[in-house]
Amino acid sequence: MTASNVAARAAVIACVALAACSSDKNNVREFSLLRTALVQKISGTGNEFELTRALIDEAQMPLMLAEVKQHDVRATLIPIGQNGPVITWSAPDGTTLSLREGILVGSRGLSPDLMSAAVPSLNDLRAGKTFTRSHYFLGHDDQTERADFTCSGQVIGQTVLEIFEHRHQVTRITESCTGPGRVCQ
Amino acid sequence: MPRKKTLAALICGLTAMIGITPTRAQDTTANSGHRTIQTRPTLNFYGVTGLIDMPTAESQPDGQFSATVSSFGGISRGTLTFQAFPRISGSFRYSRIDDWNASGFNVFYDRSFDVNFRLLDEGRYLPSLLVGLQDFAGTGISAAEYVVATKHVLPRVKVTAGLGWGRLGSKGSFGSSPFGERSGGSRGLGGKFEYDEWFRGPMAAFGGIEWQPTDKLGLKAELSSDAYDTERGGGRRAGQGEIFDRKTSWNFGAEYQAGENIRLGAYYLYGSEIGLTLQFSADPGKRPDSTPQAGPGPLPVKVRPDRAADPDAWSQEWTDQPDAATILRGNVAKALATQGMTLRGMSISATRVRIHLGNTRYDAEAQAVGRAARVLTRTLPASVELFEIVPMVNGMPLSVVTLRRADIEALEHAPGNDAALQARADIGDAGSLAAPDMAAPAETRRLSWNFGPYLRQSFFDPDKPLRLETGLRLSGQYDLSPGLILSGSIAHPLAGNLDNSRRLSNSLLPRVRTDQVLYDREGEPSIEELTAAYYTRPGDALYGRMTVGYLERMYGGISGEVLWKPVTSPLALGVEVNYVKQRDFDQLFGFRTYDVVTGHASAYYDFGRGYIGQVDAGRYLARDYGTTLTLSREFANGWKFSAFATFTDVSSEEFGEGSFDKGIRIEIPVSWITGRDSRNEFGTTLRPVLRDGGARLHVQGRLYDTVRDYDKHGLNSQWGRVWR
Repeated sequence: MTASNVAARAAVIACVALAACSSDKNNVREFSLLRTALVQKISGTGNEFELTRALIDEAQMPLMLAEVKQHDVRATLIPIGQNGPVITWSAPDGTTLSLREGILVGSRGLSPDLMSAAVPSLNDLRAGKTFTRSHYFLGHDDQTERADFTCSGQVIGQTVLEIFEHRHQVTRITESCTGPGRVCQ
Repeated sequence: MPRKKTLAALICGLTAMIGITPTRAQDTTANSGHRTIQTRPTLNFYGVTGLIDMPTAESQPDGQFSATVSSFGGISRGTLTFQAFPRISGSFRYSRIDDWNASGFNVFYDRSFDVNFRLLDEGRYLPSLLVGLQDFAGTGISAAEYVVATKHVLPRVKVTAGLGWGRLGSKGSFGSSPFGERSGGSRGLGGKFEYDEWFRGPMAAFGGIEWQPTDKLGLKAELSSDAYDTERGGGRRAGQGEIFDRKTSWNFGAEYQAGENIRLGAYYLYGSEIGLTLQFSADPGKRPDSTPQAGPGPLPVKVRPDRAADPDAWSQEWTDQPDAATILRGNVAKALATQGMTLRGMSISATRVRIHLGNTRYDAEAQAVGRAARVLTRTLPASVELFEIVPMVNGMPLSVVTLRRADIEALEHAPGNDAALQARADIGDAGSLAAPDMAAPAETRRLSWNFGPYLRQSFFDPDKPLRLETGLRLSGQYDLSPGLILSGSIAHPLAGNLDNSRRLSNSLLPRVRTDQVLYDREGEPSIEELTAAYYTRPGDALYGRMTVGYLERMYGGISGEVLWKPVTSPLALGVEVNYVKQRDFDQLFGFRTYDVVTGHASAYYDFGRGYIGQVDAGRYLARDYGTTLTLSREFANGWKFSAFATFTDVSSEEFGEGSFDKGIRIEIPVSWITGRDSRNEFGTTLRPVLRDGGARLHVQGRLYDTVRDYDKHGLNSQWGRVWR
């Protein structure tokens, strides 16, 4: 095989590697999977778009803007299911959050996934009770890992929160937790 | 929906969740009485746990996999090490010595295996103690045995002292082993266990100190007991070179932990040489932090209305509608498709449904079952309470997972919901289930295909240790009916040097594998596989396969297999019989004259904790009779390490270099690397030498690995993802 032949064939392969195809969407070849993972690492998840008051009014459905500060990620979510008091919200990329009375009890796609949680009720928080919060994470070995925290709620007071040009009177509550080797609020 | 009230709480909750995620300490910690040890066990130039060129008495964490490349003084080593048990590790090494001119090669390549066993754990006063065999089944050029002790004297400082024989008893010897003399010299064809040499001959002491002042930095100093006699002309043949100048026995070095899995080292060795190491080390059982399990969430459960409040919703009158089942089947199929799965068949009554499920997306089988169950809550009438989910592979119903709909509704967000559902799920055998009342809504005949590049490789050719070939491959599968499958694969090489090998077979046996190079030279294009296969479930715990056609690149014929494997049993037994004929080198439709009846009786045993033993006894391709022993360790996520050895009635002389067939196999799931759902994997088998003795036929769809993903253990091993 001559050098030019090798180069030409390598170019063909490079093109084909990017265009490997299959009748089964699941049977994505290894090259494609690796490429997808790489692209998403570089460009993010594609959940972001600029939310405006006009868009919110147009949507005619509840919207939730979620932000994970550590990862510098924002996403707009819509409700896709309800099981008793728990509402499940979904971002455009399929990441979901499940909340009971506004308190997170589950996530999918925000690794590590919070598979389930024992959390206080809003009344417990308002009453300033001490309680145990339990988080069940999906561990790196696909087994559930439980983390327990001792927590208490505290009402900070009434305040006004402006959300996209609308002002809301809200009650601000904080929850303080201590667990194995960590404290958070 | 309480959007406005929940926003602030959500942000708090999210922040709290991320903030209190359990973190993983990178360091291996152990309690040594009054102080906590905070050093990680590091690797040496041989790729085993050690100092610089000497071993220590530490072990890597259980299950740890390491790949090390090291080089100094013209000696390069690449080593794969696996901590197969908490106390036992094994290594496979490929070494290169430049400008040595040994055995007629200017560049000398050597393959070797190590094993070591940690006898004692480090205590408050006592050190850890380890015994090791280096190059115990190769040519013996690196052969050594050692007993070594390591003790932390400060939380970040550890000292090591050991006694070595063989290569490690060659410098500063102070006596001879009480077990006798070491004959030394050539090991002929190599590959045998030279146990009558172990711990014999001159012995010498070695030792050193390692200080890890920070989590990332390590400093090492050692006294080596390796004289490097062989490489420096001891027993020199005419023209054999001295590859480096050994001025002292002291070695010094510094290492830097460059990332979660990468460690770099630079050293000054033997008073004359600069050495470098690159170490990759990972726990296969745990996903790397950089590629966590990701991918979209499932469809949520749709909860039925309260029966008392809405009795009409629970009515069973829908069963009177003649087309109800057909409509429901279509709805289930569509909803499963959104989750990347296929409906292969369905039976439904007023209170019970059974679906036959095809899963080509989720590597965690429990996740596929969990998502299918949620689909059923969203698509079926309220009266259907019992879900029977039957995973199908190659048209065979494997197990049946029975779930109550009320449990799925009640547990979706319950704390600890995976364990709760596991306790209520029933996993049984689907072997004697009747065929589904309705086939899939689309035609049962289905075609699937792939087109893309392939990579083929060969290792350890002395002229070129790594040869690669890449090209294009078109493969397809056509399901004629459940269990009856036509498969084919055609490949055309485009670039590479696999066909340049000049190593033609010198085998004394029928050349059943050593003619590989002739197959690599031809075949543009080649039919890699063209078969018709039939899979069946003759009854509970029984599985059957019959495959006819061009089974692999070198053989065509007929292959039949029966497997007995109860869905809850650790034991499985199988029998496989094949009649095959060797294919023409061009890998099209013709055959050569050599044919053989080959086959094995096999026993498989799942010891638990991922350890699987396999014994195959029977007749091999070269008409030799014997036994293959395989020990595997499999992680829940799909990583798998196997070591195998085959002993047949072929003598060492007939077998040739290596004396008998042996090797290791590594399988890495794509999902571990990417964090995305996939059932694909990378796999490779490494043999020191590929010869003709103990060679087995390669046939697709062997039953044991096909069916065990969905047995009770396979499902439970990743049950944590049933709600994923």
